[in-house]
Amino acid sequence: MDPGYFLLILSLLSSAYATYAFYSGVKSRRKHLLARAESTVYIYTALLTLAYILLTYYFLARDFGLLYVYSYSDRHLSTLYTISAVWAGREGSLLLWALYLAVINSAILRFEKKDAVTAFSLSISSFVVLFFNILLLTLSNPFKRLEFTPPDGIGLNPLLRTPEMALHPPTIFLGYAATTIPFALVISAVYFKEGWLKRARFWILFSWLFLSIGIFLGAWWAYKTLGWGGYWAWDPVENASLLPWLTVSALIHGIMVEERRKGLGAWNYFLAIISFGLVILATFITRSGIISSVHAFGENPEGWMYLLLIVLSTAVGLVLYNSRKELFRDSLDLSFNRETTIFANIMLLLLSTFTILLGTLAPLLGEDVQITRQYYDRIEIPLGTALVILLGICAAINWRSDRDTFLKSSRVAVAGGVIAFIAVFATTKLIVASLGAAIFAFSLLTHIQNLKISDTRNPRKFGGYITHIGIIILFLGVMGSWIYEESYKNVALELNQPKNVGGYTLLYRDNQMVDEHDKLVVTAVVEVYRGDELVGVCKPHLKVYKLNRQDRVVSSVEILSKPTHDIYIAASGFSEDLKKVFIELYVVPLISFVWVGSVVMMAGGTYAVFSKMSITGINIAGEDREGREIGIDVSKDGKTSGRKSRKKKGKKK
Amino acid sequence: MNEKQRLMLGIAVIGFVILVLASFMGNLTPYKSVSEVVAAGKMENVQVNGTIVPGSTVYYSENNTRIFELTDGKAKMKVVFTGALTNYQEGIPAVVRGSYKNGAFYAEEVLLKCPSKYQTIEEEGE
Repeated sequence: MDPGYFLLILSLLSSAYATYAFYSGVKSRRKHLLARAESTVYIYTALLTLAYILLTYYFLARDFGLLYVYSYSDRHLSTLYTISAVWAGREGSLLLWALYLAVINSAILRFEKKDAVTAFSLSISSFVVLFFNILLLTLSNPFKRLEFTPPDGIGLNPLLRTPEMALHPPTIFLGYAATTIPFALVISAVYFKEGWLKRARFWILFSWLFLSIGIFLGAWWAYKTLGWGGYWAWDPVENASLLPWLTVSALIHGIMVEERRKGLGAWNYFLAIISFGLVILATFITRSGIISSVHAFGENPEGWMYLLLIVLSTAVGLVLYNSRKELFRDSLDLSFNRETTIFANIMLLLLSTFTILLGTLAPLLGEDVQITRQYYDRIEIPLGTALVILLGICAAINWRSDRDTFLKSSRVAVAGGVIAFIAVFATTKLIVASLGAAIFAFSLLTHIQNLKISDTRNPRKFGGYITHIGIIILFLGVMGSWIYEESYKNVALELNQPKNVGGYTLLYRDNQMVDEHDKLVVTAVVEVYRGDELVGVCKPHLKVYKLNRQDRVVSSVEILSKPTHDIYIAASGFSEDLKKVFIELYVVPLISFVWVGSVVMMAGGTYAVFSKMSITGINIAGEDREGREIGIDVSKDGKTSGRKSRKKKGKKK
Repeated sequence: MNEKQRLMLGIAVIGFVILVLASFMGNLTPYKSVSEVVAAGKMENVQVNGTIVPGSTVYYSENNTRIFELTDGKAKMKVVFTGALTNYQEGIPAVVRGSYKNGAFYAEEVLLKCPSKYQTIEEEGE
């Protein structure tokens, strides 16, 4: 048995014990049991860390006797990509998932108030660690050894050898793991009839932030690497990560309403549960294969395990809801105020979730069917547009219903929208683009109008507004790049013979062949002219990796970025004498808005998460909604040390 | 929520569901199997899924055209495709979109599985 497997067995035992000891310790109020449960959390965190380090060591030591190392690396792979290869496959990324959650559990233990709610929620999240541990020991064992040691590995898929793809899994999986905490907290807090918003808020924002970064990196990678001129294809794997992002976004807004108005309690409860379920679904889809038909479950026994966890968490949620109904008496005031617009936003996010889920699971409906992109475009574009309009209205509206102030404060924004419409229509004669520009201008203006310098001291408002502005910029970019992209496929360029394509003149000037350490790179030097003016020189190239696998040839994209559009060229092949190069040309308008918008959005999110609300900040800021404390303190020492560390952190600010 | 608000919300939801279902049904396209296509002899604008037959690929660099065979385990058909095909590999599942005529499938589009999943397939195949 590999020592790594042994470490996993030990962490299985300790996570199982922690699950039991926290639960039973809270039930029976046995302090010694809880104390032991606490140390077990640290123990399984340490064990999983060791297992992870060991796996990384096997990669760096080029131990191809380990099936996982053999499958995802080779001798030529650089050190950094070798480290990233640890999470390139299913087994390693599940180990990372479990490790992340273990570390988060330890952090909660270190910083959170040690009461019954925390203890019970740690029992739940330790159970999730246990779940992944079972998978790691059975169906996704990263420490499986071959009977012999091959001289070299199959190699990391060449497409994954980019910094974006190296960083995409660890960010998105951190987002996934963090979503467990709101789920565990909501179950635990409702069970004890306690408030949970203040404890969960940090983790909700945290998971949202890392989901956002992960999705952004994936989209950026797709654009720069895959060579089809786009960044979002409504592929099941992409959808899988977007679904929890949508519900977590809804949850962020739901808890705002609940904190202020005590409304939406049941919505938030279920949003936290659904987000967790969708994260588990996403882990299944991204790591165990596309759900191409019902058979995906049959072929992959892991599918049943994931399904079981989803069913179990939903069932627990429903049963608990039924027995605690009196906690959820909502008073939602749906007059003309901010609460209503936020509620409408949540509804739009949920409708998107529902429709994307429907499309993603469509193959389950029958033998070999697939949903086309038009379905998503027809549903999600109107929903997204409505969402951006609502964002604009929302910024201009007060928590108290006040129609007159709204009309007054939105006057400038409406005028701005009309001007944008006229200006864009006069220059482009495109109706949809003009409407998009009008919506963009309106929503952006209401946000800017309502944002004051002093708001930087209010991280929730400031972070939120910056995030919204990012989404509004992103909206414009998506509209431009989806609706108005031009593509020219199979363009053959002969050496030194200019060719007119899509308003540009392309001239294949030269070629180079360079032997790099791990690959051969064949480059075409293509000059791009607009009329007689040289716009730029593009060097699309083919990379032929020195690997014993057929997908070793990768066509690389070259992009000439202008503020208003990208000229995007992908080489697809050369003739044998290199006198002819085959390319695909895409002209992508407003794509820079997509990236700028995403970055602004993530900056806003980062500000909201890390400026004031550190984990400790939450504790200082708020006791529970009811102000009660059940207070099963594990030991006096545990409690005081916890308080001390909270105070320390508090002073730093 | 009062009666009127509930009613309006209800109508909106029903309207939306109808819209969704309409475009869902409208855009649900079935895959054809290789056997079906070959048996029909001629088919226009269809999507076919299957597995690329190992050792069947011929690449013509003069016109950037690739000819390979696609199989569903029962029948095989020749697929002709001109254009970029990153991450091409034999033995993996692929979806081809185009028309079948004169004994060959002329593909306008070839979709291959996402790169992170190749290994899984290989393992399952072992």
